[in-house]
Amino acid sequence: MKTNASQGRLFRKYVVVLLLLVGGVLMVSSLVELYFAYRETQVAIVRVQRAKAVAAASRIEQFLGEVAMQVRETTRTASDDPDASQTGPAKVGFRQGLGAALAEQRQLDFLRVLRNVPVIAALSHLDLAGKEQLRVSRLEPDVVGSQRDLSSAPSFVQARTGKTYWSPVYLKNESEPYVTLAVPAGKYAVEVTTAEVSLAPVVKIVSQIDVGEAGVAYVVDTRNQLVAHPDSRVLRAHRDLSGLVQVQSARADRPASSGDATQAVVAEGLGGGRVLAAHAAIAPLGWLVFVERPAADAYAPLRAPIIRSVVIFVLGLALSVLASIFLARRMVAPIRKLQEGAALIGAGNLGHRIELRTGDELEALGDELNRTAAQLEASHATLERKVEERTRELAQANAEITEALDRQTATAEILRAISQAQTDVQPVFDVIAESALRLLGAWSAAVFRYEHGLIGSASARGGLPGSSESHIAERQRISPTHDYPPGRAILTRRLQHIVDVDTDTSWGELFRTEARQRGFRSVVAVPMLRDHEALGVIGVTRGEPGGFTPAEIALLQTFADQAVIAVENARLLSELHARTVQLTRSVEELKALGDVSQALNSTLDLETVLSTIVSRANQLAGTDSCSIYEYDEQAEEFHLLTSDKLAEEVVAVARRSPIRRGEGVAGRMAVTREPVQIADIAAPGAYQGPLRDVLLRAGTRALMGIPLLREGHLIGGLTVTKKTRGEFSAEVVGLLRTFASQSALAIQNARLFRDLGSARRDAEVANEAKSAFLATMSHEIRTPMNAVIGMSSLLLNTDLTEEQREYAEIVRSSGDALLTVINDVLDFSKIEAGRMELEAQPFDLREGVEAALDLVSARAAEKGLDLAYQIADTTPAAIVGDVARLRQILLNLLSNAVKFTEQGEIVLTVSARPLETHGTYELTFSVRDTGIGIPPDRLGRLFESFSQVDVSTARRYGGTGLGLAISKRLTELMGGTITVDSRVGHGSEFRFTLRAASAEGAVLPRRELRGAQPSLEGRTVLAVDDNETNRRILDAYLRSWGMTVHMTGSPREALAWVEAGQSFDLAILDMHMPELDGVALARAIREHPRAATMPLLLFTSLGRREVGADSVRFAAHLTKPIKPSQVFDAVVAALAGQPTRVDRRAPAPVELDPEMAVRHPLRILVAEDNIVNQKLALRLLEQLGYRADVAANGLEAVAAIERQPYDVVLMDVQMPEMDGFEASREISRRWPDEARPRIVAMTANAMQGDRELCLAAGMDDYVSKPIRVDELVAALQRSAPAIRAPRGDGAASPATDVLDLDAFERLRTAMGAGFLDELLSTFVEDTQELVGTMRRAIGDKDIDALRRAAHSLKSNAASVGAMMLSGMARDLETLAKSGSFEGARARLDRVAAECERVARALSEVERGH
Amino acid sequence: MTESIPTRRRARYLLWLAAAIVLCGGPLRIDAQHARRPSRIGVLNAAWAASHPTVEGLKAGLKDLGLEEGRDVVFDIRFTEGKLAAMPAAAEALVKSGVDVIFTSQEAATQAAKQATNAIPIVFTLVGDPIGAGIVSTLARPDANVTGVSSLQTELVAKRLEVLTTLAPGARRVWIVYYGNDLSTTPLIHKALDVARGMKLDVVPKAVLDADALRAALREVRRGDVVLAPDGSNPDLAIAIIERSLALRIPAVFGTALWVGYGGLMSYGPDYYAQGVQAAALVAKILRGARPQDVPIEGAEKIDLAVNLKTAELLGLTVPRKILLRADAFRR
Repeated sequence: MKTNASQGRLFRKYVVVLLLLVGGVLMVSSLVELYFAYRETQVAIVRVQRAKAVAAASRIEQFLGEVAMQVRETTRTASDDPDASQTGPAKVGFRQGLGAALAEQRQLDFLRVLRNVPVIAALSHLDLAGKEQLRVSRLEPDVVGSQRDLSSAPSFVQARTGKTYWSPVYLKNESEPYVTLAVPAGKYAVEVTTAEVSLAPVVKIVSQIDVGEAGVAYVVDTRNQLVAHPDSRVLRAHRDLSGLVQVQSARADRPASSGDATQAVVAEGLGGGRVLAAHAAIAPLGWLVFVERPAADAYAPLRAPIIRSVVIFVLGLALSVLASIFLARRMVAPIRKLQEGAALIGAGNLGHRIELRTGDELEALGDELNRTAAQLEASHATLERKVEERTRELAQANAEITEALDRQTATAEILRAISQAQTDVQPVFDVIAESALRLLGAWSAAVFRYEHGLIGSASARGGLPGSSESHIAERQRISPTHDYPPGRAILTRRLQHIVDVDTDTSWGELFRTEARQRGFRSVVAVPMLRDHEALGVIGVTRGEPGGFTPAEIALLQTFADQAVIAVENARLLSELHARTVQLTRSVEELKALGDVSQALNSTLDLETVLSTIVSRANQLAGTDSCSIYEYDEQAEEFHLLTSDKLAEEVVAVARRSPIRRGEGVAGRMAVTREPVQIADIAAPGAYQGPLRDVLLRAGTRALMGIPLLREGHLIGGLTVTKKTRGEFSAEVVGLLRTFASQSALAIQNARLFRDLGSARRDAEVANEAKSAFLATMSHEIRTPMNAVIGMSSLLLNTDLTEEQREYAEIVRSSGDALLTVINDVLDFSKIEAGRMELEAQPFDLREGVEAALDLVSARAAEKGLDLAYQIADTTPAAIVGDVARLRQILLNLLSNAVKFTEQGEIVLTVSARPLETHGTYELTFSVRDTGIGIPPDRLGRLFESFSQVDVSTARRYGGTGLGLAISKRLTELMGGTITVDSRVGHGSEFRFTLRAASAEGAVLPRRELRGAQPSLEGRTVLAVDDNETNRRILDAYLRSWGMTVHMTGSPREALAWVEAGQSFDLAILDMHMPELDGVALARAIREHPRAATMPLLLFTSLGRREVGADSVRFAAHLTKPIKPSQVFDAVVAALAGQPTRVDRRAPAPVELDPEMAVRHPLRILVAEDNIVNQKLALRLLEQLGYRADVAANGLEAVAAIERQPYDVVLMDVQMPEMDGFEASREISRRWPDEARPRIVAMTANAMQGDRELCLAAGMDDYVSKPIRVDELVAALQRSAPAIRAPRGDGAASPATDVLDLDAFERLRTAMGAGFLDELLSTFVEDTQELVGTMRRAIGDKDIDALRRAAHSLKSNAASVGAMMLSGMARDLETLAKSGSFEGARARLDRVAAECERVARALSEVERGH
Repeated sequence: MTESIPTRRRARYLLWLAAAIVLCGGPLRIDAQHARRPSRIGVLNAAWAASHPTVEGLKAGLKDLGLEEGRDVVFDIRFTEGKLAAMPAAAEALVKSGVDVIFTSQEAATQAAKQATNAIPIVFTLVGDPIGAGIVSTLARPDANVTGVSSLQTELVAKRLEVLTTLAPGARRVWIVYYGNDLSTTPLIHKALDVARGMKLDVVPKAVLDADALRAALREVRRGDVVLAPDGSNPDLAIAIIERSLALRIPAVFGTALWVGYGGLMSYGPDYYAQGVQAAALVAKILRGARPQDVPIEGAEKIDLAVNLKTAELLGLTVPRKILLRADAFRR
């Protein structure tokens, strides 16, 4: 080894010396070349940069010098010129003027500078004292004489010395560099001009310097502050550059700066990194221009030569390396051979001879070495022999020790195997067999297990190659016999030892022959015993006779004991394991069942439930697939519902062809109703289902089906498959039975649900049909009803005999009754179909309630019933809701009460309870009567449709029995409930609630009747009424207004009070009292002088028609029920000594007013195809004094309007050719809104939404058929005659059109001449003012003001005979009274236009006279 | 010393290899010159022709900076013929066409371009008050991708009032009629109100939203009043003011010399062409790789005073020397 290293050293030495010689020369030459190239480049670069810097410096110098010069020049002339031109004529006294002129001149000069030098932003002039006298700016207004003191500013101080001063650079807008220039000015150069100069051109100059890609040029001022830089970011940072090496160096060598131009400064640049910097000075300012270039960038041209040099250098080096290696090798090779030979011999290879044919000293040296080697070889041989002998002896001793050690190690190994493999005994047996074979030097060793009376090999080692050792092992497990040692050892439980098979005759020939064949001669078999029970045997054989030593047998005994321990351990552990597995399995089962029932409970979706079931069942039962079939009882077929892991092909076939009863597994179990299984479907005849082929293809071998049974019915089947042959375990069958019952439940649930769904759909369809039918029927009934009611009304207006009148009235009232029934049915069907929609409009609750009461008050009065109502104070005055529907419920309950009450009273109370949501209330309405009552067993069915208390009641009282049902539904729609309390013979109380928001904020026309009223406070009132409810209500109202109330139910007592001299301001008497009626009581009171003038109010049920009421003077007659507003008006008026007009909304039939057409002239067109209806409409209109035209369809109607103007078109909706909707649209399209007639729809379609349809088609109003006179009159009243210029012939003069000339003439004669002038002017003035008032009122939402103004205008207009204007004003008044502003503005516009026409007409009439 | 044949062969082989490497040394030098495609400059404005003065200025400015049209830059010019509503679509189209920079004139175009992209740099001109118009929030470090040349509308309002009152010394009431939806006018109004206090002028700002309102507003202007017209995207305003001004002999000052050519009395403000030239430097910077955020917004450098002497005569005004001296353009 040593020689090798030294040889390598020699080789290296040669190589290195050669390399140093060649490579060194190469490297030195490359470096020298590089250095000079670098120097030259640097000098060239710096020279270029410097040239650029100098050029830039001179340009900047030139620019700044020019600016300074311009400022200097201009300001000098500014001071000189005026002097020169004005000293002559000017006098000293004009000094001021002179000053002003000078300032003016200076300003002009400055302006000139600004124009000539765009970079100057502003100029200032500072006077002797350094005060600013003038400032002219490009951006700011000029300032004269600001007197800003700049005397200590460096600009002023410097410039005063006669030098041009340049200020430090400053930034405007953070990015634009500016400098202030100051120069001496004025004749004596004692004043100063300063200029703000933009350095943008300087920046431009430095930006334009091209210094390579990354180079940059910039300017610093005398303070080494950065002045200009192409990148404004850098400029903004405004860095003090005194720290930069290049700046310091530039400052240092400034005097000689022009000298050493080639001296490059390499320093850190502005943006960091090494740069090559050159500079030039801007001489007069002391600024410096720097041109910098990153060193890396600058030296870029050097890169190519460097690379070239390096390549040449490397190549040269490579060549020299090769050359040196070659030379060194040639010198070293023979030496190496010699050295190798010597090394081999030295290492003991004494037979080696060195072959060297160099023919020099080296060859001689080789021969010498060869000789020495031969001698060494001879002495070596003897030594070797002796060593061999000694070694053998040592080995013998060693083997014995090793054997003992090996045995111990084997025992330990077995123990370790036992401890490692606790459940598996195989490793233990293996170790035992192996150890026995090795330690006993046996031919073979084997461990046999004895289980269930059979013996079998567990582990075997040794024996014949390629075969398992033992004959037992070959024959698998057999019963033990005495013929073989292991068998005998087990049966006798004793050790068997055969010293020589050939000589030991206690063994049969069979065994001995076999032993000979196999080649063993001695055998030992040691039984493995646990409590005298043999668990196995260890058998060992040897090829040579002689048996085994006692030590060897003892070792085998130990092995046998250890094997027993291992077997026992394993048995115990596997038992434990089996128990654990069983436990885990039951837990899993429980969990799966839990999952299934959860799926069953959480979803009704059959698919989800069943797929949960199949997947869990499949998983848990450990089967390969699981499917569920549904059984169709009619078709006797199974249909696949869902499956898990079932091969797709099988699924496809199963879905295509259902399995019939009796077919396959599913089919078979339909017959047996028990689980059916097929252990091997491949077995001939075992299985003949339609799926057999596909199942086999999918690898399925066994199949089982479990029937799904529910209440004795087969509803499906659950099948599982597995890919191994064999029966399914009882455990699996049990488990699947559970899943099957869950599936059955799920399928049944789903079936029920499905049935339910289709039943509901059927019901919905039926309901739709019913609604449609009702709507049609309603329309079909209404059309003839129109004729019946209308014609009978007309008939009643003709001269009839008593008998005829009676019949006609019956027809009429029957018609009305029928209409009510139809309306009820329609309402009910609407509610049932869910088509009833409620309005949500603010309305006055009191008015709504009173309106319902008004409708029944007459009937109540006829029956002599007391009708009373009370609204609790806490009730909101106005609520948001559907007033019509509320009235419908109230009316229904009230008419029932009236109908079923023969005597006593009916009391309506309203109360409210605020709900949690702010501003919402639960209102409770109660209608209590003292009628016949309802038996308890009928109460339950009361609100059901078509239900009356009993049939006899229906016969006696009539009615459809829908009223309460409708009321109930309406109440529910309004968020409330309806209940009833009743006692037979005592009366009933119906109570309903509804939820509504208060509409306190809404503008509703009502008076505040709550709280003390100043006009009534403290007044004393006597009230007499026998009815206690009435008394209570009256008392509550009167007291709430602050009055002192003396209340009694007995007229006698009241009279007694009066007689006793008690004085009252007012008395309120009821008409109907048992002892003394109201009139009689009044008469008696009047007897007393004190009460002779006391105002009396009389409450009646029938108004003024009361018998004898006229004989006493009453301040007012009030109708029951008591209405607070009515009572309030009457009381106030009575106390003020005025008679009260009590507004009685009597339910009497509307009288046809033949004068209506005179008051409210309209041109009417009736568009109606039905002849009866045509006649009816025409007759009704005729009775109102109108003569109308007729069109038979929409087309005719449009044509008629084309021919002549109409104010109103009564438009039937359903007509041939062109229906009402289309006609309305056509009319709206052809004529502008103000020129077209008002269209009033007449329709028998009373369903909700019709009104909206009509209005959408351009109609303005709506009356339903059958036409009711009151509705028609109201619709006509809502139609103002349209204002339009006379079309066509123009025969009528505007005056006659506008003015009722007769009326006018009457007035004229009555008032006398000269009246007209005054009238005209007053009328015009007044009307203008009134129109103005109304406009304001509409704007302010002041309904009272609007109503008053409209009222005044109505009478004013009527007084001059402007009937149309009067009518229009009345319409407005009516509108205002109704509390609505809807359309008020449009009406007012029409009124205003009419006012103008009237004014014109008046002047025309005047001219005519 | 016999040399083995293989060794000699190997040496020869190595020699050839070395020679080949030296000869092929060329590939080590990488040719850094690669052809550069011309930069695409998108132009967006409401002009009636492609040759808007700002665009002409831009072209001239770029040429001065060594960027030749065709070789270094190409232009994609979109002008909407006065239709402001067409602006967003035009901006979208420009962005889609993949230009490298967008050059805009006036607020509408700038806003539209800003809406259309936040990646392509935008260089604007003729924007009176970039902050007031909400285009940027700071001038020195503009937000995002927008920079340009501000036409200093707000800054110049004082000067405009000054030149106006210099020419019409009797004026006491100044109307500023402007489009109410033009955000950039608000700072102008504030500045005007501020300045007017010192000048003893009564400033009446009048916001209008449509042509009708404009006419109505101008009907209130009486003789003896003067009008200051803000510089906006919509020419209606200036035209209506000129009409009213001529009809009632009311002096009016405008933001640009353009209106003096149409009969406006006078203008004080930046030159369109010069703004184009100025913006060219910004465009060039951006084309050379600067980010718009690093290019500060500049105020217009060249500000002209223009007077229409014929209108002055018509209005009965004598043009004082101060104006004549300062004016850069006259129209007779």
